Amino acid sequence: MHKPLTLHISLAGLLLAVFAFQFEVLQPIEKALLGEGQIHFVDWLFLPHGLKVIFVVLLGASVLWGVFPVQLAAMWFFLGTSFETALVYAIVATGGLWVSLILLNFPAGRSLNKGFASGEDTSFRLFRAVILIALITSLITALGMSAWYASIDGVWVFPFKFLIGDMLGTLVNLTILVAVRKPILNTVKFK
Amino acid sequence: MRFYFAAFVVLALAFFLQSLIVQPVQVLLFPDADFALANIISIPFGAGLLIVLMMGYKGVLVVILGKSLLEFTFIGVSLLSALIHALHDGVGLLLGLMAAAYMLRRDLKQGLLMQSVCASTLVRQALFVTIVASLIDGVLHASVNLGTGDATLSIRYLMSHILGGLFIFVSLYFLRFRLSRWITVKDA
Repeated sequence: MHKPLTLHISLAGLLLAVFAFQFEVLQPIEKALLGEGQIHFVDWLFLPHGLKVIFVVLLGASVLWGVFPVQLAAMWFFLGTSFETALVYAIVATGGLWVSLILLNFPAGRSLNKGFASGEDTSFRLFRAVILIALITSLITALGMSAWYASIDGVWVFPFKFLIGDMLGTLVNLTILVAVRKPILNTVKFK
Repeated sequence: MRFYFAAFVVLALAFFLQSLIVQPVQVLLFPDADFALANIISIPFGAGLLIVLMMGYKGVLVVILGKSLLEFTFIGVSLLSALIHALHDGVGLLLGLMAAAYMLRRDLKQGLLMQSVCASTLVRQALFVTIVASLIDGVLHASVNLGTGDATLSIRYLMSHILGGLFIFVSLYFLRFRLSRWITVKDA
């Protein structure tokens, strides 16, 4: 199989696994600790957000082709939402990632769909890109999904809850990535 | 001091434009719609954006105080409500400016206009600040007014702020050559 395609399928598989972990393991724990509340609609720690952001920062917009169907499937199958809600979430979250990437590339005069790991632009730190893309995507998702839940389910979700869950999820993913970076790099180097 | 006064005048002009042209036109176009909480386009937000782009974080103070005073005087809302609305805009603009400064490693004290190497860079940065500040402001408004109005209120806030910012963004685009000359003279 073509190497980039294999990479993208692997990343989509990893994202699907993290979505499954979020909805099957983390969400029941959150509900047990904090009560039912609105956790079905918004989590206090949302790991998939951080992973999507890191993928986009490293590989650019091409990774979104894999992210979109994974989000749709995860919301529909694991969370059990209606197909319409899953579709809206997939469109809003994927569109949000794309808009954020464009917004960060545009002021710097870079190619709009490009990631930040190409090595030619050393002045732009990856950490800054991850934090800003996570924040902007989270704001877009918060506005879009809170409006959708209010109009369809009649549930008014406090939009800042999305921000807290998404940013905490991003920080956890970044911490894990920093922790496992050296062993991964050493393994690749050894090979 | 004259910068602060000029900024206040720009804000006052934006309010005049909003109340004398935008509001009557939107009521004429959509007579059944409720514009009490969100307009189609928010020119004062765009003016606030321009002020913050030029003055940096010091411009936020002008936006908060100026907007409170102008809303209280011209639109007739209570002083507390006017202050709350102005704080939303001020915080949204400040966080948008902080995001741009963080990304581009710019000094918050001076504003982006004073640090831009060319007008085209400034226009690109203005677009970035417009969208980020509009998103933050939309989330703030939606959180404070949670449960009031209809479900699309947060999206309407977002659209009105983006359109208001784009109004300024397009104005800057058409003035880019004049701005370029001004920046060149300043640098020289």
